[in-house]
Amino acid sequence: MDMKKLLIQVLLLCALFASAQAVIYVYVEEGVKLPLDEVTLYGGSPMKKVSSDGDLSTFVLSGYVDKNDKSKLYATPNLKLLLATTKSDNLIKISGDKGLLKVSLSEDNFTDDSEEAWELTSERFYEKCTQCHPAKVVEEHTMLEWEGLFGSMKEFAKPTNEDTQYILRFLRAYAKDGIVKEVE
Amino acid sequence: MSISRRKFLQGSAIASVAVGVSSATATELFSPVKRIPHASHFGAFYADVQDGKIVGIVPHESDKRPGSFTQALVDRNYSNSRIKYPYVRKSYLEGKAGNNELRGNDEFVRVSWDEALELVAKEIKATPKENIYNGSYSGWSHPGRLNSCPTLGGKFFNIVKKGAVGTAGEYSNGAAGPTNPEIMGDMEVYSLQTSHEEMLANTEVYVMWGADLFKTNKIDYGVANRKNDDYYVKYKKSGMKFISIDPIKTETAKMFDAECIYIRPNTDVAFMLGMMNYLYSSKKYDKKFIETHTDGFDKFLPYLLGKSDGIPKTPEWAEKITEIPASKIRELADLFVSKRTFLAGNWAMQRAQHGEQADWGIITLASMIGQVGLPGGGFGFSMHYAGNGQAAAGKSGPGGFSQGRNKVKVAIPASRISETLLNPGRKIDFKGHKMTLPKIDLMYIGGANIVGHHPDTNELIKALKTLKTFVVQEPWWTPTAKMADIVLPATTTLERDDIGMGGSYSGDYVYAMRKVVETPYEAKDDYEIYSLLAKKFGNKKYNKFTGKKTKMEHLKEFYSKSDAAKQKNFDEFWKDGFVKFEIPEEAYKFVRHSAFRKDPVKNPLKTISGKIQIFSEKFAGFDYKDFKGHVTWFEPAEFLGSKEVKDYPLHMVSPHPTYRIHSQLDNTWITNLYKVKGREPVRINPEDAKKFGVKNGDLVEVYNKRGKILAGAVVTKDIRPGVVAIEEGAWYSPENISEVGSRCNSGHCNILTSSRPSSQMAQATSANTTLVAIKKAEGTIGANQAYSMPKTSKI
Repeated sequence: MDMKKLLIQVLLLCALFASAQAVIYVYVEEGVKLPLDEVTLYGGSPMKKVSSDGDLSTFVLSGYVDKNDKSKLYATPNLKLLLATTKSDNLIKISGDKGLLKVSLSEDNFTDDSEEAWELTSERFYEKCTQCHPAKVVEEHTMLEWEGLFGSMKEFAKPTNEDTQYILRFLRAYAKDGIVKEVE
Repeated sequence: MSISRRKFLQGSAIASVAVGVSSATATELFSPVKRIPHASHFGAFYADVQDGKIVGIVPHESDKRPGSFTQALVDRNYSNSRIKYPYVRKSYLEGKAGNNELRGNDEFVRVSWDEALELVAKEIKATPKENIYNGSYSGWSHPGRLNSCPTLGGKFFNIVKKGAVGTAGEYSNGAAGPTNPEIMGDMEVYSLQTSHEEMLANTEVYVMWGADLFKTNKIDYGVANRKNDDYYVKYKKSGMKFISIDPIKTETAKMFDAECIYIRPNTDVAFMLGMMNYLYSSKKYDKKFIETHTDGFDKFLPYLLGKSDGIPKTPEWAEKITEIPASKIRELADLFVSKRTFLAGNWAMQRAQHGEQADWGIITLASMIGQVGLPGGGFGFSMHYAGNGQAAAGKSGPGGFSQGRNKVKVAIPASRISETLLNPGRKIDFKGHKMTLPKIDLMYIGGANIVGHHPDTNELIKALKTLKTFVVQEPWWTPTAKMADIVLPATTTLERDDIGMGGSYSGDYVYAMRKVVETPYEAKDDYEIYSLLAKKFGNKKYNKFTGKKTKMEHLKEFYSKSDAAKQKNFDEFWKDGFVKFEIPEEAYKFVRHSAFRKDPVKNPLKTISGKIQIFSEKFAGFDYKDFKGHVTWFEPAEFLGSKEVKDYPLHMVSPHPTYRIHSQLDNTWITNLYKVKGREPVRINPEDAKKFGVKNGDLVEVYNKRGKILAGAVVTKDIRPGVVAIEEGAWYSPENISEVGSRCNSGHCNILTSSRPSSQMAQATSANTTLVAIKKAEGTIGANQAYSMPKTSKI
């Protein structure tokens, strides 16, 4: 094997490895949740691909669990941003306060584009919350602070319950202690 | 909507009684009158239109106390101060070197719309987004969702430039805004208050801490309904005791026969600390509430007792600062803990140096009183605002435009505009961080009057002269428009279709704000102006801005997002002019913070401890000299206890106007109701008037080291000695336009206010920390030119 072929093979392996490790996001066409048979996934939740089998790919979501409720997986230790809920307590593999959940999804339900994954929630935030004033820089505040700020202003925005779900999910995800950083 | 003559006459008769509109004439036989629904921050109404002119205003059923405000909207529409055509400042258009120095003192040249838009687009294209300040601020010009300038401006810049520098915080609540969420997990200043029903049933002592409920609830950020006035009659009859802590005896204080505590301006926090010290020392405070519902009292106590700084904050200590007798401080504290007491804070108190302390002080005091979350007790910071206290319908309102993402993350704190323009690159403290003030070359303002609301106008004018380009989009030649390089004439709210909602808290009406009359000038709707500008950046940007929809399609879409659409289809709504929501019974029982009070563990506040933060580690960690980890008394740079009183012996407060929304309506006949010789009134106590040789009705000069203004003296015992009051919002008018710092001939109070920030933390406005002197105006005084057009010509 000449050096050129070896280099190409190494690069291909690297690319494959990188692809397997790349972050993929749950994509929800409508609403904030994706209900499946045993699991409900939340839009924008990051996960890693472990395998593909025809139309379905298998992913792992890793996060945090509440010791009193093993059916929910959260993105951060403050347990404010849900990644997934399950119908039984044994689907999430738990180690300490952390958990792993394996799911299979069709390609309609995931995307490698973070902005696309969070587009629905961000649009709802900007629509409801920038009618009187410009949006604050979301990453300047923590999730807790955003809960307070949103609560302060909601009398003016008059959001529906559905709006509230979208907006709080967006704010928590992009908060200082959230999981998404805005792409410049 | 056409109506029958019979119906019109019925309506006119009602209107004549209600607001003094004259009835129809025989001309209606030949030229029918159309009744068209519209709505404003001053109230909802029907405009009677004949031959394309407004001949009458009939109040809407939702306006519980129609007044002169909506009448004045008609006058404003036909005002001589209208901007009729697009204009460009002459020397700017000619590109003369140093032309920016002539800003505010130059002729305007009439140009075509295309020329004006081309010029604006060219400058925007040539200027990096980091050097553009989108100064369209807040949404007070009208309550419509389609033509909202702050929304449209943000959307426009976010689409065509991927953003621009914006404004951080606000003028109204700039100090409380970043403070209260850490203390209460809520800004509190905009939140729904305990219902009037619960207040009437439970409150025994109602403390108006600077809150002028009757005056400020006349208008609304949405559509005003003045329904609070119905409640005030009930309050008056309720037997509740009212106390007003205010240097002014307000209309509300008079209405409620309140006990008036004429406090020295800016000393309220010392007053609060005096009461707190007494409550602690006498063991009369609610120890249990402090233990179960608050966090950090132990870290505040050494300061309160003087163990950390050697100064116990006793009533005697507070007396020296506030000039309120220590015995009265004790008496009031005893009263507050023995009766169901509500502390109604205001916003003016925090528009002062160290204004961050005002609400924190009230919150801490209310915690020691221990009635937070009880019906009719505790505290509130917006009983004076937008009809708060009314039960909420809880329905969803019309949609509106999204501004989208702004890729420029720099936003200038609202009170720091002049500092930014004059000192680009300067690093300032802000909310625990360092921020670098940006270099601004282009400023674009739509529907806002920065020369009206920004402190220290002479400094601001100097700052505006540093810009390369200043664009203003406005219906009137406001003082801001007169400072612009490019002026784009906008239609008034009466000249375009829109959709709104009101009141801000009751949320019980959605309104069709239908076009009442055609504009007689070349003015365009704000939405259209921004759309046409977007077109200058290509069809793709234009389509993104408009969504390929007509204005009516947008309005229909906004409406469809409201719960109103479940009651009427759009066509019915548009014909009728409104949809009314029923208010659910439980809404009348709302008590703020009641869930938290009942169980602070299950219903924690959104604070770090879930409780009220009497002490904040986060704030203490900022390590600022003028903002600490607990409520603190700081001596202001200017107040009646400072050295400056030797030269400037009067403390000027600049409250919200009685007959305007900020500067709106200053160019209408409504000013005849209150101006003195055509100038803004200055209220002064008889003792001071005598001391300074001023008589009621005199034209006087009010001055300090920042500038001087002419005002009309109103000598009244309704203001404390040592204090003068000039309501904010009079249009600035320099006596000599070419003289730097010329005396304002109109009485614009912000000539005198300081741009000093409230603190390193909030960097908010401190307009109410202002000392002045006063003297009778002498010599020949020219006419007030505030409402006249600048010199214009046509190419």
